[in-house]
Amino acid sequence: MIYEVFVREAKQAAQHAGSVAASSPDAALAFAHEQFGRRGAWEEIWVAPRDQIAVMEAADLPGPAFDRSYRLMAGYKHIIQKWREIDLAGQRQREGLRP
Amino acid sequence: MTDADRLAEFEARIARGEKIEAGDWMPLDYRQAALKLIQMHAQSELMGCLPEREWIARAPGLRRKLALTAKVQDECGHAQLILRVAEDLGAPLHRTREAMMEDLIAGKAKYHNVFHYPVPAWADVGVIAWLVDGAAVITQGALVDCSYGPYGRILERICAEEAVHIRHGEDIILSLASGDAAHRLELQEALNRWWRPLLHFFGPPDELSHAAPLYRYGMRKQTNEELRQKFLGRAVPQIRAVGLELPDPAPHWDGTQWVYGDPGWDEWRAVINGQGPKSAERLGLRRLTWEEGRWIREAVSGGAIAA
Repeated sequence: MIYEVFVREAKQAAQHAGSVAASSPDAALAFAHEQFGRRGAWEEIWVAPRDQIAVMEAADLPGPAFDRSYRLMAGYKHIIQKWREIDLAGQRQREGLRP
Repeated sequence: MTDADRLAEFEARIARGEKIEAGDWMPLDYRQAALKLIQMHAQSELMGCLPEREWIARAPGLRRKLALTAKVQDECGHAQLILRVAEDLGAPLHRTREAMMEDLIAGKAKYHNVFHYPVPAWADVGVIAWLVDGAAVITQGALVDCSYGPYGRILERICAEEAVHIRHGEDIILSLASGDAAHRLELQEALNRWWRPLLHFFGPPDELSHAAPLYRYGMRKQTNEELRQKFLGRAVPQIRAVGLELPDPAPHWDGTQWVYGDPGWDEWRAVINGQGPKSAERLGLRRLTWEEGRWIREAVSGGAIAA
């Protein structure tokens, strides 16, 4: 059976690292440790049978029906310009702060 | 290994800057204090949806309606992310999500003071996104590096979304500020309404003793006052640059810190204990949606009750 391997390093969320072929979860962990856990920095290794992982692909979904840039920082670039126009940096200096 | 040994090792891990994970051993007072903080944050995200949702249908223009809907949706999503973390942390104490929600609608759980106030004008929506979210991102940003790993990691994602909310707020208030006299007056009045609750938001400068385990175990690293000072350093110049007046007594930078008038802590205490102008009405709405949504929770959980 194929197991997908996820490694969690210190302070991080677990990340997909690769896969191993094994006959049981214990064997999968042993192989995963050999393959992905030999560089020291990991705190946890997770394995999950590939056929137990449900997958969704963005390409299968319809794209946004309209402009959704209001959800993104990129949708508000004009605000940075507006703060410049009303001289926020100058105001910070007048308050005695770093610009 | 004795509990004293475990505690010593736990404290050493925190001192080394390691993160505590959900399945790790932890002392009871850590679990309780972290759960209380995280649960309060989750309830605040949930209750924070309610003031803004009042304006979705009335927001001027389709884009602003959509942007506000997306913001409310984000806050709701934050509550779900944080409740999941709280559930894992509370499991050994038999604190289920259901129990946390029941506490909220029974008026037994605390949430941020700012969500107990009315939102009478569109300008208030802008001031909330600009300054309330601005204040929230300061407290949450300070918690990204907290000792509890699962909470810190979701806060990174939450803070990134809050940054968009702040821009959305700036978009609203900068438009009003460049409008006519009536627009600017509406904005000034909204700022006047929110200024004192914003000073209250960070909590009193003298820490309450029940916060002590949070500091001892590296959950919190900055005091209420340090966070408020940081907020003032960001907000005051912005407010003046926009051409707004700060309510009396206006804060000033004395070269080392921001000096501001006493915001009166009795009001804050009453408000967070459920005596705010909108506390009862909003909890009533939360109770209604909790009850009316029960069949949905049952359907999606296959019969086993979930929030």
